[in-house]
Amino acid sequence: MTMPPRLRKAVLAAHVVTSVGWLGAVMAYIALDVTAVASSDANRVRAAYLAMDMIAGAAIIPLALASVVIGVVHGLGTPWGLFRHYWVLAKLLLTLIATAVLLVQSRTITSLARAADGSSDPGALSGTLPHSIGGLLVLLIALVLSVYKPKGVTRYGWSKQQELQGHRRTATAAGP
Amino acid sequence: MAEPNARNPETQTDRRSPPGMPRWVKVTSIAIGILLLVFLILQLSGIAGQHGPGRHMSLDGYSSGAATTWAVAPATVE
Repeated sequence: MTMPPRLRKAVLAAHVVTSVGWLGAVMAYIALDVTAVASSDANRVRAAYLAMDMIAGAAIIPLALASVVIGVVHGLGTPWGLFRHYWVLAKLLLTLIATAVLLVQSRTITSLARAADGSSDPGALSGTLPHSIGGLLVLLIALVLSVYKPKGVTRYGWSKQQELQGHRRTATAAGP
Repeated sequence: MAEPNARNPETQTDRRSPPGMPRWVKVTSIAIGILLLVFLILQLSGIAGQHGPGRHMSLDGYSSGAATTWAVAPATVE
């Protein structure tokens, strides 16, 4: 089912806002993560862990979920679909994996914040840099896929196109 | 962030037979497969250490349920 152009634009705008917001929130998170790992000031480290927990819970997770849901709605409501083009499929898989890892990781982040809050030496905690940098890379790859849209139609996409072209030929042949 | 008008998705192929998998998909799939294999080998061999939430908790005596029972020295909390 294809959405009308105005609705499609609105959904696309919402998808861009949530996706870019997700990327920006992850970058802010990484700045705190680096502080938590690298700083020698215990209060600064403690504050960084608490802020990481807040950013993850109040910005990263809601934006990630919104981006995935709106992206799926946008894909289903446009000729791009979800499974017709390799780049869309790759982006869908990347964002689903990133969201799943994020949801699992959020418990760790909360535990780290609690641990840092109650410790006199929060610098001994290891931070979450491998996951946060990995997440950023995944989001950047998704961004590149969205911009470049590398060619490639799946078998399913090809059969859908054939179906559509068949309908058009039938409609033209049966014209006035 | 798909822009449907940037490249018409309905006109990317016009063939009689299904298209093959593009090279960028094959190369990426092989690269991801190799990375996963390396990750699995490192995990199973124990070289990479523990992977999971416990890895981040390097403070002595910490466990997820024990966090709230810690005694905090007043001088360390502003």
